[in-house]
Amino acid sequence: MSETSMGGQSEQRSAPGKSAPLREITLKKRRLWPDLRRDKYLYLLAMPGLLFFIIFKYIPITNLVIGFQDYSPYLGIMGSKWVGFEHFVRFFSNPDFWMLLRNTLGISLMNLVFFFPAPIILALMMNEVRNQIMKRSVQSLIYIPHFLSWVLIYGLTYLMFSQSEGLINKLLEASGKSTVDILSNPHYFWGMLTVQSIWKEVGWGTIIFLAAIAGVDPQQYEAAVMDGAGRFRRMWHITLPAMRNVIMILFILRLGTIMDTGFEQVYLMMNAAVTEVAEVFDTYVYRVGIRQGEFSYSTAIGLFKSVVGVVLVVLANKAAKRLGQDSLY
Amino acid sequence: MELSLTWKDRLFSLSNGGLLILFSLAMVFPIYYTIVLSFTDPTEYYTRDLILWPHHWSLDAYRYLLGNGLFVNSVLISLFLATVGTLLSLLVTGGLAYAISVRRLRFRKTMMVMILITFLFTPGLVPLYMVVRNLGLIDSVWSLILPSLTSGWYVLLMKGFFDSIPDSLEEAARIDGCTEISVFWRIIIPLSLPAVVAFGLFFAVGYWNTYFNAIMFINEQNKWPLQVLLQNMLVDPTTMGGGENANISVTMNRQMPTETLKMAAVVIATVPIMLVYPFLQKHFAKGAMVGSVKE
Amino acid sequence: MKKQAEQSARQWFIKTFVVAVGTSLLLSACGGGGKSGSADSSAPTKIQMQTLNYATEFIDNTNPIWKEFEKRTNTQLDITWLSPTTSEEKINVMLASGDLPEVTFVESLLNPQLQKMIGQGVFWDLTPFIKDYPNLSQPALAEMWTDSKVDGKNYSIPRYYPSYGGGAFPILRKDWMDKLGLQTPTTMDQFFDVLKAFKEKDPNGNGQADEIPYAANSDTMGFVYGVFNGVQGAWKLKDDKLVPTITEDASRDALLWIKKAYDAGLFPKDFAILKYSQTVDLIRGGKSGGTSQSMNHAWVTGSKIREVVPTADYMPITYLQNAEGEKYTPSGSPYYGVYLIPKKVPEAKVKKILEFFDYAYDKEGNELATYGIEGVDYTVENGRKIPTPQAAKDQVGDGNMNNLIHLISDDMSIGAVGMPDDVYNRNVEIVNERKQIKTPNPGNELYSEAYNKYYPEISKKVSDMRTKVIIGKDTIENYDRLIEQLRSDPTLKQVADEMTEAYHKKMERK
Repeated sequence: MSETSMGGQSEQRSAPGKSAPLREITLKKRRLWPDLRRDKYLYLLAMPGLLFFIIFKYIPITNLVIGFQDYSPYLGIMGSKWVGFEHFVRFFSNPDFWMLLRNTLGISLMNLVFFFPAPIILALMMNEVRNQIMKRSVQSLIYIPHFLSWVLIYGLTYLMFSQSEGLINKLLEASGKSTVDILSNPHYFWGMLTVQSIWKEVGWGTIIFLAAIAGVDPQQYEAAVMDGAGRFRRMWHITLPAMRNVIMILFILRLGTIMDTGFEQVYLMMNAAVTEVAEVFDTYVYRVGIRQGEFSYSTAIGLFKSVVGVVLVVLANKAAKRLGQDSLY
Repeated sequence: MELSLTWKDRLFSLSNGGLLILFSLAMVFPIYYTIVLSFTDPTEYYTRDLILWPHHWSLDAYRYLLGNGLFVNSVLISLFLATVGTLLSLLVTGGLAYAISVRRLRFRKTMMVMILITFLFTPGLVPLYMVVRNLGLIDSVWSLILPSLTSGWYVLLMKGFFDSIPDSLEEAARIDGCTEISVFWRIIIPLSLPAVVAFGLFFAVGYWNTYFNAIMFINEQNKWPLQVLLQNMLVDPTTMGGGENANISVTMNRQMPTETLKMAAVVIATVPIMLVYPFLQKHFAKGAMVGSVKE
Repeated sequence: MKKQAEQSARQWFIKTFVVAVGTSLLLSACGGGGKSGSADSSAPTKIQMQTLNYATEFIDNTNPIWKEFEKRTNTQLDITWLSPTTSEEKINVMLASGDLPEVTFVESLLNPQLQKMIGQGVFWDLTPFIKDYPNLSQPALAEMWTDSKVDGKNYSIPRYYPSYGGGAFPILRKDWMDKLGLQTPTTMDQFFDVLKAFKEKDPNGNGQADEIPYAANSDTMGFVYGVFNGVQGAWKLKDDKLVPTITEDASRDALLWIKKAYDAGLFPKDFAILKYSQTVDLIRGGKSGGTSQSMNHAWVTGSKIREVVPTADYMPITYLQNAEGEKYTPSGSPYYGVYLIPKKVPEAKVKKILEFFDYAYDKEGNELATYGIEGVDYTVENGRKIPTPQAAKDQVGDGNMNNLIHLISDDMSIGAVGMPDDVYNRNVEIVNERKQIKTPNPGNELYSEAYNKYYPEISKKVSDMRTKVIIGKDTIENYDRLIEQLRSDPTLKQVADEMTEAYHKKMERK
């Protein structure tokens, strides 16, 4: 990419000497130092962030080796017994593995298909509103749910949908119809989660897209109107392309987290009647790892999840590059 | 763009607006319900079936909460996190993102890869706990800020915004003899104000809602942020606990707060962070203008 | 335009920064106070401990009761309180990180991580020391020490909790029963009939059939399995072998009883999704005829019902019996939670810690923790302790110091602050009657590695299936199939074998 062209320039600029191998090494060194010194402030800016990643991400990551051990806090990482892939074998041979995989992917795909595009559509709709007062009030209202915690949303869901207390069932009953169980029905569980996620985050999700739209030069619209382009065509040819970069990055990142499902949400919504469709990797890791204290086993599962995430992101990024879209790196 | 509107345009605007209004109302109803409950007399809550408008208004819940030292204290802690934490997060994230957005920087690619790796591998809870403990941060409010300063996500997204700023501007500033820090401070930050504000809000909400780290790293009750106190009021131990001890836990003399009190706590916990938004909305607009004026 | 925007942005930053730094200074000013101490031998011993606290507000070392404890035991206490909402995760993470306070609290000796660590010798074996402390070795606590042995040794100081009076067991609205002329049920059939009458005969007298006879959820109906099986806990003794109750036919009958009750509309429709606090809300609102709670809730929850229905009388039932006439009432080992001392603590200090607990289990220390300081927090009238207004200020009562160490008395499980005499005296009568009932609990305090590893998963499968059968989301045939499968399951067999072995070992030692 443009990176290489930059590199090329600097090579031209600072490599006057002939290409004897020995000299080249010293030259490279000499080139390095001035570069570093020139950009010392940039490194200074980057430093706190890098330190953060080293201390709070890399050091804990090294502890992932306990996934290959029979870790005991008393013996520590150095003293604990190495067991190789034993925990992975135990996990993959567990009949529940496929259930967990199915539920995790199912919930994530529902999110990807219905939840991911929702804020994009909403942002497009809001961008078409001309009345500033209305735009602002709608904006302010739809952001609110984002600020609520999952516990509260669980409570509200119960108030709305439960069979004996729920508003919906009370209305059904009042109109002489029989009540429906929504919360303890396995068929509705994934849908319920998706609805909750959309309700909570869709308004908030528009922020990033509206910011991207804000970057569009109004002249572009004016020119398009001159050319006789209708609303949908303007949306399609001007607004959407302006968001493309952001959409692509968000999409790739979301693929990377496909193995993650909002733990707190699923955990709160889960009940005995829906376990079969509700148990996901995150809840399983929590139950087995934290509650039953099997740290090595749960670390191994976490590792498996991460590896799948990495593979997905790399693949998606490759695909995006091939399609000529903006990519992550 | 003062152009005559066709009937198609009108129809579109009408249905678009109508849909949005309906949608916002659906969004807001549960919140309305929460607020109403928080002002309802507790006895009425338990005896009436469905309360859309209380017969007896009551301020008891609010009076109780605002008179409670622990509650007020936790609000202060959360405010501290949301201000100082957000600021630090913006500096750290912005600094790193800007550095890696400068293409000529050496080790740029290395840093990128380093960031990418971290955001994909989630370190477990126990290792993180050990790091925080070794830094001596247990029971310090900094344990709620430092480990969640930024994430690979945020750095990459912010870098994306910086990338969209034309290099020519930065070059011009450099030629004028600005150091990288002043370029960052005077050119980049103001130009990406919408992004900065948006990220600021992301961070602020994150800090305001800090919960899980707090239950792990903070023991002293007077350093609890609001969400921990709230969770303590909203969730009963037996539902989270269960198992062998469930029966005994049920037996303990624990009084759960009344429903109306819970709702009032929720309202107090939600309103401050919501109030931040209209204040920032102005900046969104300004930022957008700067964006349109540039070049 | 650009300049203007730039300027206002800078102003904004400056504003925020000033506010932020200002706040940070304010807060760090109150957060200071480093820990310093000297190593003088006559100086108070510093003891670091950690325990659960059910109080809404935790006390610190400025509290008079806390100070009194320090003064009387010549210690300097550094207590970390854990909130019950999150204690389980927190304790497990602490155990796993090896970050243990000098006195570590764990809710259950059955905690798998804890058992591994005991096996690895992380904690002091306290067996040889206990006899030197008169209060710790008092007869009233003898059973507590025996029951909390692991491999015949005492690795922990248990926190006393009475055997009877606790546990989730029906408490019913006696005023409803009286109104309908019903007797307190003693069999499952009678229990069913009482609930059915609650449903059909309008005990709240509002002319509507809006009563929810029993505020049950899937967690609080465990006692039904106990009644039908005639045992406490998850294991039954058959031909000198332990068998899991989940695969027993009696459990199937219990399941069918619950299903019948659910189908008859005796439970909330949301049986499967209700959380415990939500079932309590139903009771509190006066809409429901009873739920499963410990005896102190006759007042803890009962007083709340009275706020809505002043005539409400909330009465625990004594026992329920099965078709064979075996009586069941909830009971358990006489402790709840244990304190352990890691080996990194030197022996001299271990003795100091034991001294502290010896005082806490002394009558004087025990009462200090529960009632506060005599003459300040309470006065004695006719042998009863009457709390003064100061008691509330010192936060005496439920939680705090009284969670660190429990009163050696049934009042722990049957009494509550402000409980009227009639309710209290009736509770005393009921608990004394309950004490006559000895329901066997063969699986009590047995440890097995296979159990830790496999049993939680198996039991969860069964309990999920049960719930589904109850609410009609699955069939009894599928339940039978699952049980059939489990009966021949090699892992469950391994668990049962290890449990049997542990049982025999325990019997030999006795």
